[in-house]
Amino acid sequence: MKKLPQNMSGDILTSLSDELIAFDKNDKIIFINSAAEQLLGIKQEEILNKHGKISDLLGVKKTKDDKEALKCWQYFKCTHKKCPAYNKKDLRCWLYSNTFCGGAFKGTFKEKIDGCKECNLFKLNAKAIEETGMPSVEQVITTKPNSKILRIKTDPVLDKTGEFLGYVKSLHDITTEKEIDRLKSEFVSTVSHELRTPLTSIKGYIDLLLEEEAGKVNQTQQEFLRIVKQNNDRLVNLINDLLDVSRIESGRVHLKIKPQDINDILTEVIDTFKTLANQKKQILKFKNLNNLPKVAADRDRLSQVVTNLISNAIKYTPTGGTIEIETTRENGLIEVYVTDTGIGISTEDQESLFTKFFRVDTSLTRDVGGTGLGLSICKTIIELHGGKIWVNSALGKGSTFAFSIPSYETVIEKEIITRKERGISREAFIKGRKILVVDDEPEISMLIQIYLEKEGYDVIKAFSGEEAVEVARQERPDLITLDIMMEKMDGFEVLQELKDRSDTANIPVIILSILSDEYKGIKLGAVDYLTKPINVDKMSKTISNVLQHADISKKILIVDDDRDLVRLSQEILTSRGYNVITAYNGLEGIIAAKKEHPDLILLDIKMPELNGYEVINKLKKAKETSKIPIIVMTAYEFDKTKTKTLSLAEEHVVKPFSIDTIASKVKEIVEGGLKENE
Amino acid sequence: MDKKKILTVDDDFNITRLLKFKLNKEGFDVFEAHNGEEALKTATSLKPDLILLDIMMPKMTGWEVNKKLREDSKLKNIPVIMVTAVSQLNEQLKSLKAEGVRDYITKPFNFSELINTVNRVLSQTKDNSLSSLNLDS
Repeated sequence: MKKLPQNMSGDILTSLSDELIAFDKNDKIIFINSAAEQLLGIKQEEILNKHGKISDLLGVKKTKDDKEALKCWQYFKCTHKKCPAYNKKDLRCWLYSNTFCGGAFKGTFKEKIDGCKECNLFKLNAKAIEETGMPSVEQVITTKPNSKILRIKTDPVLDKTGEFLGYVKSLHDITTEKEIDRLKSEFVSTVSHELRTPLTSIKGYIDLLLEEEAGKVNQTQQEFLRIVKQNNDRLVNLINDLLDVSRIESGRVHLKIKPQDINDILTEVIDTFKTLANQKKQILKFKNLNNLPKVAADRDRLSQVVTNLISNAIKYTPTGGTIEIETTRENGLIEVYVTDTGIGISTEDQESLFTKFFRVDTSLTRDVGGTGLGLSICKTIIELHGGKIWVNSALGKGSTFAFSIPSYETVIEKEIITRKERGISREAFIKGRKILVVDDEPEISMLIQIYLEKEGYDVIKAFSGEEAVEVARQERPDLITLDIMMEKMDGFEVLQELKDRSDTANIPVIILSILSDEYKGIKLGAVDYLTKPINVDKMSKTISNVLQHADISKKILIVDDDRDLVRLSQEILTSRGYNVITAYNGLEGIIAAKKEHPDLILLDIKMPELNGYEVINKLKKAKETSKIPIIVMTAYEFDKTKTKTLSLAEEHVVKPFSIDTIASKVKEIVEGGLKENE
Repeated sequence: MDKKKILTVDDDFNITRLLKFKLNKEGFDVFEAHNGEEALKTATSLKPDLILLDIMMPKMTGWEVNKKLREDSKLKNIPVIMVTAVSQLNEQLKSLKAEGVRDYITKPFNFSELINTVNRVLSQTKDNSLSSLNLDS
């Protein structure tokens, strides 16, 4: 680039109509152009060379995040004590030293920035403390000097060698754009309502006429009325499609991902098309592969895709043709093929097929009608699921539309094994899942929030038991993490209340508790815990949860010195088809475990001589028993004063364990993740 | 046995007439109201067994009408079926079921859907007139 004449660059920046404010690396304002002066209602003399936060200047409302920003040396337990930022109220250690976010990382400024881009903690905090290292765009609502919505873009200023000199913020007023956005979605919803109302009357009265409720209708009249009715239905579908597109575009589609049997969904959809295919004398074939793993999908949305593809196939296949639906599996993906013997699609048209409002223009397609939105909606839905959609076709030779969708197992495996390689599929899987974090200590809930948000969950928080119940009822989260030791209403009371209410009873809860002796069993490697007195239903639920892949009778070892309890549990479990072995003290338990190789051990904690903790320790150390899942049984009540003191004295270690039918995936993620940070 | 009384509320006269015509044929006694105020007045004098309530009405929306019904000790047990032309409200509808809204139908509706829903809600009310909670679960 040609060098600008001396001083010219300053003039250029000053004349720019977008607002610019530049800071040095110590956050001192070193430049402000006239547009920014006007916007802020401030003269440059007043603020130049002063430290200033853009949020203060603009009166941006402080969010909670501001207070909760964590220092990365603290969060990552950084031991890089030489770093000037260590133990300071600063997050930007990567700027000052050769380290970022706890990792011993050396490199150029750019490399560090790239490193930070991967770090969600950094991203999260960067916003809160107005970190400036990486280019970022954010939207803020200002109050000073008047209310506006601004898009603020921050770029680092680097010299030729790549050294960090400071940063520049460009402000852009988007108040009008936002207003237009709002008007647009309001418009869509109003229009949809205004159109549906007259269509309701049209449809209703035609139906009355067709049912001959208003007198005899002759054959020609019937035929004409059917044409009116069909076209009315087309209009309704068009409006539904438009609404769908508008919803998808504004990101308001939240998938409810659950394990689904794809063959089941297909059978259901195919059934609805049988009459239509019969009318056109078409053969509708379904070649399903048996024993397909479940797919991770939103049932309604996936049905919508399948319906669309089959309906297209029927529409564009002449009378007497064949439509074949086939399922296969391919590398952890389930594939669905819809093949027809229809008119086919030219290669050029195939390219635009999945774009909005595109329609292949032939006399047949004009006859058949359609909005050109269906396939674009299908594409979006499949991609939100982490799959792909494609077409193979040749003019006159029929078409095959196919899509792939990840299996539920793969999604879970991916979560566990490559949690850091964030594939689209797992993002789609997690996106929009709401987790309620309940903890009366903001620091801990922040930590959990950071972790979960890093994973892509939506996090809402409650800081007391009462609030938790309230929020759970309103928000219906997909999962709740619950602290036990809270003042006033403790976790157990909250849990009881949640389980008692029909609207929250089904929300899985993970107990997150400060480590104390009571939960040492879990800390040592038990997978779950049960409380005494034993709740029969809960026990069998917990067990089946742990043994969820059980298809044959499983062997369970009960270790407890309370013989009555052992007998009771044995009876219950035997009656449910389990093979039960018993032991009455720790030593017996260990011997039985080694000899019998049970699939699960139910272990009492408080036993004389060899207690539960020691048993777990021994079992986990011995190779042949280390993999056996253990459920500890522990007393319900605990000394609150003692644990309160404990929580003050000890380091806060957060440890999850499930109490009810927790979606195993979430459990594994949360457990795995928190273990990693321990 | 007495005919069941149904009150249909919609600001569109064509739609109340349509509902009245069809439901009459099904053996119900049907009454019309065309705004929220009229609906509450008619409900008080008529004590209907069921109210079909449009959501988007000028002045008072269906939600407001429903709220007023719940606040009135004489009317609070009358079940409501919401009639909506806005499909996005599904979530909201479901969450409000506990407050006397038993079900909803979306416009445009099929007669079979309308009649099934009406019959289901009426039979549930008869079986279990005190419980207003989660009939769908």
